[in-house]
Amino acid sequence: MKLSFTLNHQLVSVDAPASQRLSDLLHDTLQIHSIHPSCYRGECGNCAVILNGELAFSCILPVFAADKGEIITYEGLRDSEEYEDIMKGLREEKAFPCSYCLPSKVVIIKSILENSLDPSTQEIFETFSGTSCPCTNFHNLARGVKRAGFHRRSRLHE
Amino acid sequence: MEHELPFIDQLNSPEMLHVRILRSEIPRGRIESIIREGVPKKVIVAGAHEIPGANRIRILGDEMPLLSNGDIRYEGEPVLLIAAQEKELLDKAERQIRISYETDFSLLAFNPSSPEQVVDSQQLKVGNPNRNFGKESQIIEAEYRTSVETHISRAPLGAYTYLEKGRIVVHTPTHWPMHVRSAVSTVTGVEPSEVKVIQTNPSPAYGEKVLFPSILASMAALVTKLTGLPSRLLLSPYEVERLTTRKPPVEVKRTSILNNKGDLLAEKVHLRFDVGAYPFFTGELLTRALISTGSFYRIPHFSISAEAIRTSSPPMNLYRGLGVSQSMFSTEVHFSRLAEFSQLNPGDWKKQHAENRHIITGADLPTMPLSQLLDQVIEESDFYRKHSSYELIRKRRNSIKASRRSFRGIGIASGFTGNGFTEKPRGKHPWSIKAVLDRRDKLSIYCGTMTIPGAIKELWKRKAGEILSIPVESIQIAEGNTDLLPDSGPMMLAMPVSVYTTLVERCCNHIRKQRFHNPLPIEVVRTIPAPRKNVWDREKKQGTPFHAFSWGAVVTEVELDPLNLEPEIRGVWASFDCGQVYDTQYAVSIAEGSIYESLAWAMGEERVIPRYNPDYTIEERNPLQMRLPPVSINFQNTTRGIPGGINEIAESLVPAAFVTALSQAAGVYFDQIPLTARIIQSYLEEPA
Repeated sequence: MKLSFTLNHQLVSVDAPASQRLSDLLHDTLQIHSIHPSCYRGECGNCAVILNGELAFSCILPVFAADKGEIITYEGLRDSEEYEDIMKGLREEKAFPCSYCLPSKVVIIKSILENSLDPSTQEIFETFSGTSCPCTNFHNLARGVKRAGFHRRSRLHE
Repeated sequence: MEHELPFIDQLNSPEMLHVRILRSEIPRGRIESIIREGVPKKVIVAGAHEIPGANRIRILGDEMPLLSNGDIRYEGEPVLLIAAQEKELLDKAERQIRISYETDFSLLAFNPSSPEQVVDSQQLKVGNPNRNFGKESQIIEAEYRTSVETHISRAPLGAYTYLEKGRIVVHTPTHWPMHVRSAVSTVTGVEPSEVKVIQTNPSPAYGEKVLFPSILASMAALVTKLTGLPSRLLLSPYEVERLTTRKPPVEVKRTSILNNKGDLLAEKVHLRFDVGAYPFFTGELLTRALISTGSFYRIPHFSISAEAIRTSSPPMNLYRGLGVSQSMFSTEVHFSRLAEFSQLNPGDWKKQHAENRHIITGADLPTMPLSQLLDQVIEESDFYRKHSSYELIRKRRNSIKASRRSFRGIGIASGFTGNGFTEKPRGKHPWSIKAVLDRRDKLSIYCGTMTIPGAIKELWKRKAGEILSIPVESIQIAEGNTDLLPDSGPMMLAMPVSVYTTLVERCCNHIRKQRFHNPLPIEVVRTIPAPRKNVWDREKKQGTPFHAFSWGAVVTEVELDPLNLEPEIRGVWASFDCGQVYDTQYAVSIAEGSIYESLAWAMGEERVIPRYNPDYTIEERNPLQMRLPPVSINFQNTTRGIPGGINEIAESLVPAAFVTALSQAAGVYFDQIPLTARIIQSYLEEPA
């Protein structure tokens, strides 16, 4: 089927089987290498994207879910001020995601901060409940997210 | 945070062949026939007969066939490789190829097993535990079990190969590039120098990146050799989870003999490891198991035997720690139980033994820090008070099932893990590290693996800078491939932080001596030495077996809800001495991750952080998942000694402390891992 959607602020048109998973389309066809489709059960979180403003795990979505929609991946965030704030927050709180899960963690943090710039620890843990990589100290990660929210707030008030 | 290396699934080329493994559908038997009729012409099919070199993967003396040579020893054993440029063709070929088997229904079980299934065994004996200890002695028997544990690394596992000026180039996320080179050379029949291995990003690993990249690279390289085309083989999530590395199940039988005062006179232990269809590293696994089982306890008569049992399960391979956590689990739970039997507080009981400052192999360790570590966790957790009061409550109540109040328990565990192998490699290519100081006073350190964590690289630079009095900016860790880098052995058992750091220091010390006597550049290679017999006698299991030790003591407090039998961790207090720690915060981060993982293993949960499952409401999830238990971690002596690994010591002690605490809370002796609510229920239903 023919699909068109906005991927990282650019219009994309592709021809893909309707049954294909969105994660495979992004990774294999559109060469979005921050997406790591690995569990295909929505469990590991390594295929996290922001679809139409909401956090989504692209391995459990068919490609047509993206039609006429807007997808933001890690690549689309890297040049943004939000990305700088997130990375600064993580660094300051010594949260060290491994290179495999860093992109998905950044996308998830972005979605948390979209909902609240001062999220609670419980909110953060609940959102990260959809990830499985054990590389990062959870408490440091939660503090890093809060710190990122602080930097974001400061920037917005400048 | 970010690694420069690409992941294996990012590498591809337009003409690349996708390689898939066709696996056996039966657990044991023989292949009767393989019918390839109807397979599309564009699909390449390769079996054992198409292998130009030797059909084997060998690692330190153990080997298995790359593709089945007719015998099937486990379900999922690779039989054929199929390759095509389009994945749809592979699906079609998979449907067309028919493999017939002659099934052998006599599966090799773990329990019971026959003597023929024992592929390796070792024994360690102190005194004579079989002597007659008199009528006054008391005998306590117990059995402990741990189940298989699959790793949770989701990073892609595979290999990408192509020809470059006649040479085979391999990209794979290996932790031992030189072994990949050797394996590819063996299978394809070309000289090792005709194979170049480039590492891709391995990311989180549990041991599966030591052997599997060699297997997958050999398979992809075989297709490249047969076709001349680039080939990529990626394992599916199912294959990674079920058919790569797993922690082997263990059964432990223990017999303790105590005198009428409760002093432990003798201890007999027998361990059995299910190593699956093809055993690897069993010598190292069993030696480490013996040492971890004996641990630091001072027992006049002690006998430990360990066996590796071949079964019809897929090979367990090399899970990190190599059997240490399972062995330590039985020892720590059992000795806490004996302390209780002797009317002693388990903390005091362990401290008494720790004051001896030696381990089961007879090594005297005057700087052994266990007493201080135990003191610290006992004080921080308020162990004595809590243990006494929970014990009092346990003895006063009738039955946990008749109660509506939650019950609490607290457990303690202590011990050590070893860094580096107990058996040093032999042969003409010893594992080594190279350092070169060039004419501009710039130092390059060459290590066989490029995937050394950043914190360890910083540690090397700082140490080298101090020794040679040069700024760290002048020091680089060389990058490259097997054409440039030495064979430093597998990156496991804390080799990078412990053994390699020592080799880097030795290289730099030698350069410092040579520096003003010889012209630059100066190149120094230092290899891992085999210890002298008076240091470590592996045959007799006497002496100091490890390059360095990592020590630890852990207390865990548990609350058990009598209604749903879900244990909740109220707190974990841990104190470690892993020698010099370069970045304490980073070390705490690693230790905490290991503690959560080991709790997840002990509680039968896949993860501590909950899985997203739309069918569950938040309230239905495990309490631990929703509320991370508070963990307090301390590192002692962070500025002295050889740096040691953290992961293994943290994950080895926590399960024992958890099970001991849960036993106190429930008033039932638990003797297995994992412990889910359902298993706890079955223990409570057993007649007393």
